[in-house]
Amino acid sequence: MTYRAAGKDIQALVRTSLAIRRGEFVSLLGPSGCGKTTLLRIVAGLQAPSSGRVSVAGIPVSRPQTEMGIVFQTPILLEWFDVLGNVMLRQDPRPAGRAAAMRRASALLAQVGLAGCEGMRPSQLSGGMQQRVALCRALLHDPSVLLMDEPFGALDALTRDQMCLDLQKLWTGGEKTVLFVTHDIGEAVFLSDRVLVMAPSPGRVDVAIDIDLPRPRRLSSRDTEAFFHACRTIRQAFERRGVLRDDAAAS
Amino acid sequence: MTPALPDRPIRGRVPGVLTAYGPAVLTFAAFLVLWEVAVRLFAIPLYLLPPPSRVAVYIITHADTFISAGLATLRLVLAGFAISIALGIPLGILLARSRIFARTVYPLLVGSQTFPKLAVGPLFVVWFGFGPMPKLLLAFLVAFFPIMIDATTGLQSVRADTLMLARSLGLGRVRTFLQIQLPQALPSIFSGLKIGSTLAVLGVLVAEFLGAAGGLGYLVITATGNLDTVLLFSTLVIIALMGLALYGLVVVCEKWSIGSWYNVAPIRAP
Ligand SMILES: Nc1ncnc2c1ncn2[C@@H]1O[C@H](COP(=O)(O)OP(=O)(O)OP(=O)(O)O)[C@@H](O)[C@H]1O
Ligand SMILES: [Mg+2]
Repeated sequence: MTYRAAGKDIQALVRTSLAIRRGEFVSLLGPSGCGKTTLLRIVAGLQAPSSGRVSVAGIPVSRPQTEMGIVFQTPILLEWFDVLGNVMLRQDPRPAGRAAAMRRASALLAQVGLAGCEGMRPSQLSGGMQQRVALCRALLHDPSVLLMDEPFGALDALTRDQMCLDLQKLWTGGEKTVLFVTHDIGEAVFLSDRVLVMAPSPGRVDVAIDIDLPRPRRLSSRDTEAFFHACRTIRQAFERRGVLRDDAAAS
Repeated sequence: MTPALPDRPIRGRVPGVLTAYGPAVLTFAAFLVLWEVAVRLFAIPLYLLPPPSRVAVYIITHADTFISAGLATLRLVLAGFAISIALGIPLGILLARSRIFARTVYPLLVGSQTFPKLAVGPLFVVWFGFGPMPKLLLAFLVAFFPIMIDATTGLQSVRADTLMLARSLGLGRVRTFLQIQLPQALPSIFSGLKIGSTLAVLGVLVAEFLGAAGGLGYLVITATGNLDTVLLFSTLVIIALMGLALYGLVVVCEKWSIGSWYNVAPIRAP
């Protein structure tokens, strides 16, 4: 994928190849600017790659994948709708099915701790609350594929842990395939079956690391040797690429 | 487009009409008093500058004249403004959405605006006589342009991420326009309507100066001809009130339609 900006070509992604199995939870992990968002948009059909192709369930992606649930890096809430209106945006305004969707929207909001916030305006919510509304919007139609771009980036550590647990439950409950972008090593290890470590300039998938921790994972799973080991493996991959430099250790 | 003001402080969230406009009204009242005193003190002749009290008394005693002339003008202003909206906004939308239109017609429209439009007023009188036609045409000619341009500007300033969201949700063209683009364009559309409302009044009045059998513009011309400065001032007061009322109507519509999420400030204090 090549962008053109300020008169020069920017190679945002090169030789990127990945295959995700149905029902798999895959994380894209990498430093800022390595092309995670770009890759996600290409998978979602929101952006055409300058070369290469993507297919979902054997069908090439050539238009926006509207049946996927997408959480963008920023909440993108519409100020002229209240919270409920934003969550329901995908729903056709015609009355058929609207009542059911409304109940589901309220249930989703309650699930992420926003019960009773239906009538509030996006501008009245904190950044983390806004991102949770965006999450509910992506989940409204119970999608089988979820694309999430740093969905918990704006959350505090506690809420983030809770959301990770909730996401795991949601994922285990249905037959969902999740592509999850993050730059948090622990988060990636906790949630994923497989972590794709990306390297920058030009962006590419460097190594894929399988996470063999037992499911369902608990908060206490993070204190296990296996968890530390997975995190260390990933950190070493970054160190190899020069993304992480520990000068004290070198001297 | 500025997003809704994130956090207005609780206190003063709903400023009373008094706190909002009180200072301005007081300033204006002081100005009137000063005027009154100056006219009396320096014995300024009536035909140069009548005192406000004379004007007020004149308006009240000649209420019939002003009501009938005012209504005649108001009807034309409303009609001219309505035509400007009915054509200006669709043209603005077309301009924002059609590349062909933007490249063929738009330059001509902009070019036509550099021409002093009021100068074609006499031509309209020659063509259409003293009836309502020249007034409506002139009102439209001056009022539609800002309405059109602001509608275009509003639609062009729609945030790209909201359009991406619309595509990812599969909203389709109609819903994308109604639910994503139009709401973001409304603040700009309303600022066009505010400017257009004052220009519609101007267009009708100038056309009435050029030839009319009634209306406020006709009163202005009559008063000038007779050096009746009291009548002139009284008419100007009525004209000012009409302009203010029309502007206020637009602000009320704006508050009603987007006030719940957009910070509508009719007269913004710095
Ligand atoms: N529309 C664009 N035009 C030009 N360059 C772009 C565009 N979008 C992204 N890029 C470039 O592509 C590269 C990858 O961007 P991308 O947004 O995919 O990074 P990211 O991995 O999501 O980073 P972050 O973690 O900060 O969100 C960056 O170098 C960026 O400058
Ligand atoms: Mg990104």
